[in-house]
This record gives sequence, C-alpha cells and structure tokens, in this order.
Amino acid sequence: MTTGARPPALTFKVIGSCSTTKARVGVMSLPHQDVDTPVFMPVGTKGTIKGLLPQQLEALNCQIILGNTYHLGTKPGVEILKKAGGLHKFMNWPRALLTDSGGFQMVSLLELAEITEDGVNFKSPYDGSECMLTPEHSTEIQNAIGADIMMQLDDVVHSTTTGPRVEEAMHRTTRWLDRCLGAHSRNDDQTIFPIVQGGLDPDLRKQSALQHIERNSRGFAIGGLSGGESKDDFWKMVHLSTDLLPKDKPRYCMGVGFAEDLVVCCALGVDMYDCVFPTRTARFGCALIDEGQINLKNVTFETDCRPIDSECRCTTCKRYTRAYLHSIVTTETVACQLVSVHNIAYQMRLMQRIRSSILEDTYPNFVRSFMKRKYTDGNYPQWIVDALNAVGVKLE
Amino acid sequence: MKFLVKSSGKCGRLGIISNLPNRQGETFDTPFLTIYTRGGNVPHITHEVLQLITTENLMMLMPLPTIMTALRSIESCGQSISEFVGLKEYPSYITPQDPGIETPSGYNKGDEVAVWTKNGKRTVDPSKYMNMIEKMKPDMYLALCDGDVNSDSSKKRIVKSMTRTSKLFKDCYNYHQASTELQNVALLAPIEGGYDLNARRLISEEMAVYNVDGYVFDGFHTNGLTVESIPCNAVEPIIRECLERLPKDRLRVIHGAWSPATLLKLVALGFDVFDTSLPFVSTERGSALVFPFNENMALSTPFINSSQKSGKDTNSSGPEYELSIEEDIYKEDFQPILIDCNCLTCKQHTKAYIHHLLKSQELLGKVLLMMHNLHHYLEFFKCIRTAVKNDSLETLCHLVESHRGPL
Ligand SMILES: [Zn+2]
Ligand SMILES: [Zn+2]
Repeated sequence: MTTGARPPALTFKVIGSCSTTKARVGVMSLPHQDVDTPVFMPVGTKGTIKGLLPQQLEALNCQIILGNTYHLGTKPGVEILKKAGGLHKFMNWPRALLTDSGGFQMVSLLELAEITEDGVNFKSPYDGSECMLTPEHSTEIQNAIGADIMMQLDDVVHSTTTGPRVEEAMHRTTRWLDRCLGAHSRNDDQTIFPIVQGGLDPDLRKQSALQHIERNSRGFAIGGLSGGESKDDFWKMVHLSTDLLPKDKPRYCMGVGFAEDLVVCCALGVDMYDCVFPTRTARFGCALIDEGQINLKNVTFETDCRPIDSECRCTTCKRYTRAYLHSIVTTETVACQLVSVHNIAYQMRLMQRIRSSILEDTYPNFVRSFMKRKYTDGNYPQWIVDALNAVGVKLE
Repeated sequence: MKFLVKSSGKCGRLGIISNLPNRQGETFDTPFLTIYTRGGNVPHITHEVLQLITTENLMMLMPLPTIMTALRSIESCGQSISEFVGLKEYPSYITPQDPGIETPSGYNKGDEVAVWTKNGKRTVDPSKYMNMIEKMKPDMYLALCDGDVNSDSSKKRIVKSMTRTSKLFKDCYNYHQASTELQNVALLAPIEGGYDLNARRLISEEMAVYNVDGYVFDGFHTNGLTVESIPCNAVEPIIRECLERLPKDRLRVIHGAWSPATLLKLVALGFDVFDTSLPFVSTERGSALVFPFNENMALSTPFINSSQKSGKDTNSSGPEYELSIEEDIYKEDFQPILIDCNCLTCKQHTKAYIHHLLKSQELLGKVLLMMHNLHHYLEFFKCIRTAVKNDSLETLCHLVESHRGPL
C-alpha cells in the first residue's frame, strides 16, 4: 500500500491582490476545511456558539470557529476531550477549529495570575489550588483539543504598558514559542501560530516579528492589540507587522471584529480575525447592520415591521420582523439565536463582499462606499483616514 | 372548523379536523398534539430548527400570557398572530392561561381574570379578551375562564370558579356570535368544576347547549409542574360524567404536562387534543424523555427498576420516563440519548456533549434536549393513533407503564 506524502497541516495560497492596498484574497487549506481569506472566525468559547447547531453554522458559511483552551481545559476538561477524540468529534463540528493558548484568558480573567519564566502561575477559581500553565502544558492541552490551528503561549502585557516589561515580554514570548514548538506532538495535524508582540514600540514589534519569521512557521498572529490602546497606535502596529511578515503566509490579527476595523485591517493585509462581539452582543439584542448596530430592546422597534436588514438573506431576516424580535428579546432564548444567526451572517457577508471586491480589484471603492454608509455625515475618525491613506486610499 | 369522528370505542377515538379558517385542505388526524409555544416560538426552537425536527403540519398553542405584551406590535403590523411570530404556515390556537408554567392562585376578581405576563400581572375581562382575539386572528381559541382550581380547592372556590366561568363564557360567546371577523374561527368552551362531581355535571349540561367547536377540560390543576403527579383515577370518574352530558361530535381538549401513562388513559377516555407541555417542562429541568412506545425501544435500551437505581438520590433523578442529563453519570457517556432515536440530536450528538452544555449553561444544551423531546413526543403520538386504530392501546399502556427508568 502506498500513500502519498501528506500535505502540511496548513498551506496558504494567495489567489488575488488589491493593486492599491495590501489587501489580498487567499485560500488556507487546513486538515478539516479550505478556508477563504480574509476570514472572520466566530468564537465558540466552550465548544458551542449561542445555541446554534453545527449545521446552522455550516449553512451560514462559517469555515472556521474558535474555541478557548482555558475554558475547555476546565470544562469538560482534557480527559473527556481526549476520550471523545478531540473537540471536533465532541461537538460534532466537521470544519476547521482554532484554539487560543489559554494564557490571555487567564491573565484577563484571573486577578491572581502571576507570570514567571516558567509560565503563568494562577490560583484555580474552582478550588483555590495553585496551578501553572507552561508553554508545554498549553501545547499539550491544545494537542488534545486537536484544533487545526493552535496558538503559542505568549507573555501577555496590557497593550498600554510601557517600559522594560514590554521588552521582557517580547523576548520571553520568543523563548516560549520555542518551548511550544518543542512540545508540539501533532505537527502533521496541527499548526502553531507564533504571536508577534512588542506592545506599541515599533522597534520591539520589528524584533519580535523577525525572531518569529526565523522559526519558519506556517502562519503568524499579531497579538497584544485590541486591549484599550488608541486606534492610532493600533493601526500603526498592524501596518508595521504586515510589512514585515512573509507575504505567502496567513496573518491573524487577534481580537478584531468590528466592521470598520475589519475593512481597515484587510487593507493593511490581514487575513484572519476573531471577536466575541458579534455573538456576545446578540445576547443583549444588538443586531449589526452597515449603518452600525440597532438595539432591538429599544421601544422604537415595537412597531417596526421590517426585517433587521432588508438586504440580508439570513433565515432571521427572511422570516422575522424587528417588532417580533423586540417582543421576545429579553425573555426567549430563541431571540438570542435569531440575532446571533443574523450577526454571524452579517460578518460572513461583510467578508464575502471584501473578498469579491479585492478579486475584482475594486477594493478601494468598496472601502469608500462602506465608510460613507457608516459615517453618513462624512465625519470619518482620523485613524481610519490615516490608516487608509497609508495604503493609498483617500476618503473624501 | 370541521371535526369528524371517524371511529370511537372504549379505547379512544379517531377523528379528523379540517376547514380551519383560511387553511382549506389542511387536516389534522386526532388524537393530536398542539405545539406549546412561548412568545410565539417553540421554546428554544427557531423556525429553521423546527424544520429539522418535523416538516409535518402542526397547530401552535399560544398561551395569552406569553403573547399579550406584543399586542401593540401585532396591531401595528396588521398581521395575524401566526404571521407576526414568523410561523404563518402553522395554524394558531390561543388559550387564556399558560399550561407550561404554574399559574399563581387567588387573583381572579369579578369579571376579571389575572394573566401573568413577563411584565407582571394583567387583568383581562371578556370584552378585552375578545378584542385581543379579534386582533390576533387565531384559527382557534378557548373562551375566557376561571380555572384557578385544584384538588385542594374548597367547595366555595369551586362554586365561584363555575359561576364566574359561566358569565365569562356567555360574554365571550355573545361577542363571538356578533363578530364578523370571528365567524370562521373555532371557539372552545371551558368545562370547570374542579374535583366536584356535581359541579362538573352542572357545567357540562350548561355548556352542552351552546354551538361551540369543542370543550376544554380545565380546572384539574394550575398548570406547570402541578400536573404530572395527578393519577388518572383522580380525574377519570369526573371526565366520564362530563362526557356523557356533552355532544359526542365535538373536539375534546385537555391541557398540561400529564405523565405519559396518564395521558394514554386520557386518550382511552376519548380526548382528541393535547399539548407539548411535557417536552417543555422536561427540557427546562435538563431532562430527556426516554419512555419506550414500541417493542424495539423497550428491547434496545437497558431498563431497570427505579428502586434499583443504587446510591442515587431518587428526587434528583426525576420522573422515571426521563433521563436527567445533568447528572454526573453522563459526563463521559458518548452514546446518544436513545440509540434508535431518529432525531437530529440523537443522530449527531452524545449525552456527554449535552451534559457539558447544560453544565456550562450554554443555550445549545436545551436546544438539543427540546429537539429530542419534541421528536420523541410527536413519534409517541403517531404510535397512539396507530394503537387506537388497531385497538391496541392497552398494549401501548402496558409498554409505557412497565418502563421504570433506564440504566
Ligand atoms: Zn439577517
Ligand atoms: Zn432523539
């Protein structure tokens, strides 16, 4: 019996580029799914997304979703995930998955997390015992979960931190990357993404990117952003990172998911995004539309017999009115599912529109008309004007 | 609405409902289930997911307490209740109270019935009620009534409930007769009287003279979890007396989450219409219905007597006809709820995953339970119709009753 050489766990092919900006369209082939990029990845923290069935997510054209290692490692726990044969089987999701390292969740969720060279030391919120999440441990859990893409454990500092701590974290992140790669036991099935750190310091960012590039990874993440830094700093760090990172590898900007951020970051050459916002906000009755968002709890929707978005072809907009959603939004779980369906459909359709216009090489026009619709008064935020200007798109 | 009794015996009867307003050609074979909804949706189930459970025609039971706060929206959209809630393909049936949730007792005063909405107590009198019915344009509805009676109610309370209900019903009936909008809408009359045989006889004789489409046997319980533990022999003699006094060619309806064994006896007594409150209350407590209703199911799942459930708190394990999926024994159980079940939940997901979802308070846990529970109950009713047809209801009763909880 002969078997051909297995393809690597991630191959990436750019199939079209914008002739003005750094935007590009690609296909990222993963063991479970070919993913069209730029892609938005909905977050399913505990192996599920807001009451939606896996086949609903497939129908919404989700190609890859996110799971959180910290939460999954706590519940159901590594042992059960191992016995189930990984998260794909446990939740019956046939397409691609990505897991984070668990480090960010710990530092942001647990007050008592302490970072040492060894790893992240924390007190369990369940029984108060001391635990240590090391790069090796994070890798082992992520190997058990079995996601197509996993994240290195990085040394997370708050994005507005300055001084020597940022430099220490950047170098430690590289050392931890090597430990993660050393512990990785399923390189044929799963790809580890290094995370470019360095806070808001261009030199440190550059060093971090260059150190990671040496490791010849199949893809790269841009981390340590979306944590309260100014938008002005944010886009500059993204711009700088995508300039350095290899053109033939996917680039993932962690924690980004607002529509205008997606449109700008695609122009800066980012290929992958994730954010809890579209599904989390659905729970509170917030529906996304090009003009911004509407809160269905608001009494003005009591007599609004239109769908959330008349241009949207999702199962919610085809059947349900704003007035009906208003009537169940605080009381029925179905409301959360219906708004989640729409919000995910919105994100997917936005990415589809971005991909099509890049392929047709009309992306600058798309960006301009998108921004015009969102900021009807023409008062564009300065950072958007500057960021787009940096890649040759002028907003009039 | 037209209702035709096709056959009737001592083990239940078969019938067919047709000619619902604006739904020519649609029929329902009885005994059948109305589908319990809240706020116009099947609990936890969107229209998209409902299509994955069943594509058969269903009648939606819409309890007034769960929809009346939307009246302004319904009016301004100018739609029927079925259209407004996004289920225009399905006929709707409105009841004044909510069979899925226990109704607070002691709040009906004079001509006014207390209706507990998400915004608290509202009072409804006949003209207000009929006005809402006209606006919501259901296919069928129950007249306003005072069913705030259970087995503990005093004689005085029962008399009060009856006199109030007579008055409320007559007002609704007269309004209905005079209304052009309601001409084709089916009207059901309430049969109250608690557990007082004499009172039940009187109200049955009174209601028998009206031109209504059917009768709802109310006033045995105050809805929600108060229904399951009522044994059939507590209600059977009363129901027999009432049925003798009522015209045989009308729909006989009874609501609430009766246990499967009691429900079968109600079928045998000749009831035609029930509802899916049991799948709802079962789902809400994190449980899956697993009682067998055919020989294969009884054989393929290992069942043991509930008294043999060793070392377990019998209270926490719930009724014998369901599995409490939140229990730790399902943590690593990678089998479906029922191996031979054809529902999407059982074909695609394990008890371990559902356990994890319920323990994590994730919405999908109850979605998956409700999908299975509804499927199980709808399939149960298919077997009931076949059993009535083949005169084998007793065998089905025996199957369901012999079930004492799975291993
Ligand atoms: Zn939509
Ligand atoms: Zn099932």
